[in-house]
Amino acid sequence: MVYDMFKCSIALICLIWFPSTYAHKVNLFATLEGNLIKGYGYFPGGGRVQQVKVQLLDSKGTFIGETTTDEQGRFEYPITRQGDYTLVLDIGDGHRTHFTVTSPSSEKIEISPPLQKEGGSDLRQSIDCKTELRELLEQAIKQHLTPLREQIDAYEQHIRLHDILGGIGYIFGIMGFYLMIKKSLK
Amino acid sequence: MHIADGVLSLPVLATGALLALGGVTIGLKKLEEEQIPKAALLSSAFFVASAIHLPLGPASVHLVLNGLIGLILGWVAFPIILIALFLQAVLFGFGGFSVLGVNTLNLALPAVLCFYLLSPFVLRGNQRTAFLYGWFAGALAIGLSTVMLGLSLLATGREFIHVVQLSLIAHLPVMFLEGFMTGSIVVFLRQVRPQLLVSWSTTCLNVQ
Repeated sequence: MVYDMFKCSIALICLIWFPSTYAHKVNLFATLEGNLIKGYGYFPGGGRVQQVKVQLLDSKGTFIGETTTDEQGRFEYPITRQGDYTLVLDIGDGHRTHFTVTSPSSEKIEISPPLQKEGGSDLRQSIDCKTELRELLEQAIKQHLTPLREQIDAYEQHIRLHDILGGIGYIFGIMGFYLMIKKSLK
Repeated sequence: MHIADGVLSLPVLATGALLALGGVTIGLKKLEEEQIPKAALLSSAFFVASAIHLPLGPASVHLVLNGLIGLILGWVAFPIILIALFLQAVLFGFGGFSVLGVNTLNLALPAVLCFYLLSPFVLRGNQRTAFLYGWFAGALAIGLSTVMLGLSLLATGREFIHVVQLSLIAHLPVMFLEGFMTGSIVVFLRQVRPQLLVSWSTTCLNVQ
């Protein structure tokens, strides 16, 4: 009898303290790099989505094309026009998710022009330099931002202990409320 | 086991919602005051169990516990599971809101079936038979839930072979694990708190 209680308490402890962030849903992450949409499908907490179709829709929801994830869950799709795109991943067993990729033109990086008093060809040169500079900056910032975005996306999927406790609290709260109503109706 | 939003067609969603509503109404009618703490406990167990995955080989499995809920509570499984699924959708993003009815039906109806088929037997006999009946309840509940999941997908128009592959075959190890867990829990409850396992069917059959 003691042994059984011991077994059960171990199970209970595992249930409560198991540092697991596995979630029973599927997620997509994607970015736009130049003319290529790159991304991957994953199960939050571990595991990539392998050999599953990913559909590409434009900002109006029109179907544009589809591709398939590889063994690492990765996929790529070349686009011809800048804009916002929505990717839909449907595994077919009831799991489905979508992700919207925004084009860089909607994330303009403004470089305030320095005060200048040049004229003529000097002006043209400085404008070319500025465009190059802007493009370099965009690339560099994107390089640094993308891993951060991935981290945020994955972090949002984390199941937190306080959500679990909140859910349990709600359940007991609802039951208590129901009991209260039943008693007062007697 | 949780179907996400946007997968099923509207007729399937509507039918599922209506049937689940019927089940919940029956469950609430049969809910007695003394059962409410039990119900809250099992709802919490269901809520937490689906959130915790245990790695098993290349994939990971999680407990569902709808067999156990059916054994102990019968029709009350419907409101229990509905509440837990709703909270999972809100707090974890599992499943969805439009599919709440279908998901509830898929999980709670097998629970009720297990109640009618197996709950009279868990207090009878010795530990081994109790474990076996518990095992059957767990495995059967998962099996039926997977079948209903497959039916929901089929009714929406998915290809049959694809659905069978993805839902039925993939859930076989879950059936075994769930059976084992349910059997163990039933045996434990028999020893520690046999009153928890008493249901209308056991009292009807005058079990000691």
